Amino acid sequence: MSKKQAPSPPADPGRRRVLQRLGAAAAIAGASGAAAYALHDAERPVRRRKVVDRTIKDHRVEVPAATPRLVIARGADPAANTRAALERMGALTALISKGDLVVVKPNIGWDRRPEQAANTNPLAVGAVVRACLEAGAGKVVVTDHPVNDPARCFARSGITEAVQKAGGVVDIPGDRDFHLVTIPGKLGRWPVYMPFIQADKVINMPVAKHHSLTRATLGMKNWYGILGGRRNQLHQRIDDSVAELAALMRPTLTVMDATRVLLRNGPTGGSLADVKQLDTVAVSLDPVAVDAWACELLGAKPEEQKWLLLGQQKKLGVVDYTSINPVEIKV
Amino acid sequence: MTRWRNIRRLYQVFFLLLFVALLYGASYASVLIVPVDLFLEADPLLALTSTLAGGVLFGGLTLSLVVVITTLIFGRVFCSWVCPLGVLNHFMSALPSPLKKRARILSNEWRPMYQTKYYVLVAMLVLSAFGVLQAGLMDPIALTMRSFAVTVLPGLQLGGAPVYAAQPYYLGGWFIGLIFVLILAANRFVTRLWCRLLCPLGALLGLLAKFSLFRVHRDTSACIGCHKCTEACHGGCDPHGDLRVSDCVMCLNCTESCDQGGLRVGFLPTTDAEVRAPDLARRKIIASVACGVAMAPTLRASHGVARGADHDVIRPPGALAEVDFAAKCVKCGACIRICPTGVLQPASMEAGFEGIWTPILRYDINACTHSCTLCSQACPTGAIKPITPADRVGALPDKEPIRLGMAFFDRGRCLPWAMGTACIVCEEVCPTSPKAIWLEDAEVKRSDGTTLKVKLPHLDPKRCIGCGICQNRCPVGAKAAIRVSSVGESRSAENQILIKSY
Repeated sequence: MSKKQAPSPPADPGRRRVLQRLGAAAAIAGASGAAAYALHDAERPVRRRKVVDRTIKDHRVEVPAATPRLVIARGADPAANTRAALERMGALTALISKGDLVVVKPNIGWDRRPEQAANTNPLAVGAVVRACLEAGAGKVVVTDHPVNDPARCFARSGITEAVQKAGGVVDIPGDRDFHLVTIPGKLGRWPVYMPFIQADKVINMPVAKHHSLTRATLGMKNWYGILGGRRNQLHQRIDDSVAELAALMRPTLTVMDATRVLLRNGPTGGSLADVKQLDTVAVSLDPVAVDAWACELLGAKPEEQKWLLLGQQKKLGVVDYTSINPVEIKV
Repeated sequence: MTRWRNIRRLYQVFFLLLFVALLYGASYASVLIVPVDLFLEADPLLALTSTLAGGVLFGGLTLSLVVVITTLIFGRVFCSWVCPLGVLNHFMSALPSPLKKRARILSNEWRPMYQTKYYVLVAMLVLSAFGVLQAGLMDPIALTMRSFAVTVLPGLQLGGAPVYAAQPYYLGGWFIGLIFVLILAANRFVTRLWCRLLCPLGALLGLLAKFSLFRVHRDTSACIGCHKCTEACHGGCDPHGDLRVSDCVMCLNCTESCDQGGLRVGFLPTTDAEVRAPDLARRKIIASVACGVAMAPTLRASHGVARGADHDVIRPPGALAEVDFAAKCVKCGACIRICPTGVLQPASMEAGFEGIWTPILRYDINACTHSCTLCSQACPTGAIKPITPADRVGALPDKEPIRLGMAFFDRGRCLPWAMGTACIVCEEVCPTSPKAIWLEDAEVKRSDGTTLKVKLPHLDPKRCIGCGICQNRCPVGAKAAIRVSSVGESRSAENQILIKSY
């Protein structure tokens, strides 16, 4: 680089230049001061993050008093069972309004094939989607936040294919779009997957399975799947957690898949030796009663399950499901 | 005159898009139709070195013969027309240069240091003959795929592009990314510096190009000495002087830059104005061989492959025993890209220097899916041998599952064991049937003197497959109360605890 001669300063800077420089210096000093005043905080070292608390609607709908609150259908075809049970209940058009966004929540928690019975039966899920669309739903979204890799769970469970065939939409969650919701009780704020916040109606679609801590994992525990975050901590107070989540999510309807029931090694299963074929689907307006009924399928006594009793205490439903006169049909 | 340059540009764009599309499409949904390892299988350097190291030309690597034959016919067209790193370097070099015309001409002249790549190649080949496969460190396909897999694609996801379902994070990705950026940035100073100076695949193809049927032919009588060809040259192969055939990357900029029609592509041109062989110094070749010979035991003597297993080196399902794995893994990152959970990570020094950037499973990041075999399908060299879900899962007692390691409880950190708190998460998520983690009903004391009924978790070593989901989902978090180490891994005969058959 060639050396540049520094220009010699003018003998007299001139009034105009002096004023310009003073003005610029004053402006910078003033702006610095103003910025410091605006941004200063003696207590908090970082800006408080804005947390928007979302709420979840009560999705229950008034139905005519004569509507059966629990319908149990048995037959070889899970789709036909589901359809027949819904028809026998006869309330779907009352439950679903024209143009509703219906979110169906099967258990799609595990990277397992349908015959391994770790996830809700895909044919039953397809039948629910179809019935909702026929009842006037604008859009039916099927989603769950799985334990295993979501892409594999949705594909291998057969649910993606069944839902798409029925005209519904699957929503495979990633790590985005979870929003904080305060759960009534002691659990506090937890991230919930957006479709459950946006839904007009929610249908819970659990599969009846064995679980070593709660004896059975059914409809009320199925709500673990709406959560993100470190939901594994909830196992430390599992009975309270199950009941509190059930108090948060009041579904329009519960459809219990007991086509194949995992009797051991739940909730993951894996071996066909753990699976018992029961060919049954139950539809219920009482989330506690239908869980109590399904408990017995797994050889557990409902009145001994703390989470069920807590659910009854919270007035979410009744443990003694016989008191609501279940209707049994053969398909 | 044929507009070779525009045809070349079409090829460049096509192959670069294909390379990115295959990587982008490498997910569970599309793996059955997307051959993510296509470019790797076409790579003669990976084929040659992995064959030297492992003794077998594995699977689809025969595709590399297409590139060999193409090179024997057309010279190093692969470098400028197909290679994703070559194409990226080409584009970076084609941006307006900061150099003045004269400096640009000077910077494009051939230099003796461009022979470095041949010495690198020789050292790599010798090293692989001893079973130490390090070609992947510098092979352009492996390097580019690795850089895309651990930095470019995850970076795009962070920036908002939907490449993955969930953001993956890669340990030491910054370093791999830094090397990639430096290679690309170097083009701003010397055109295609990487290709000219270091690329061992370019060197290998250069040796083959010596025999090529078509090459650039210079008509010395037409030359007016304008040096436009040198200014446009990408290979640094002196098209104005005696063309260095082995260094020519067949970009064909020179044939179009010549106003006099003095340069053209010709069939078996008979001319003296070329240097056919790379013109290497015998002493330097001997030094390169010596370097390769010396490096093999040096690398083996340090902690790593030869010592056997490290407790933290947990390899993907289907991975060969460590010595064979080291002879086959080219560190391309195809398995890392395709892994749906992101549990596969590029190793730093866990597996020794030899194992740098080879895939290891890090269960603090995620877990290995029970019946997933995608990495074994993506591996071009068979370092992870092809397996089926049935192979992986097994069917005890007759058919052993593939074990990656074994889980161990850290009872001092475990909630029911140490803290009087109920928890069964490890048992719940355990994917084997029967579960490898079983529960014992027990009463534990709490600090206030009361007792609590809990289930104490235990491990059955015969059932554990080392998938790591217990470790990853343990609520104790960053350092879980149950952790997997490599002992018991199926691929190793020595790294075992239990006597077999009991």
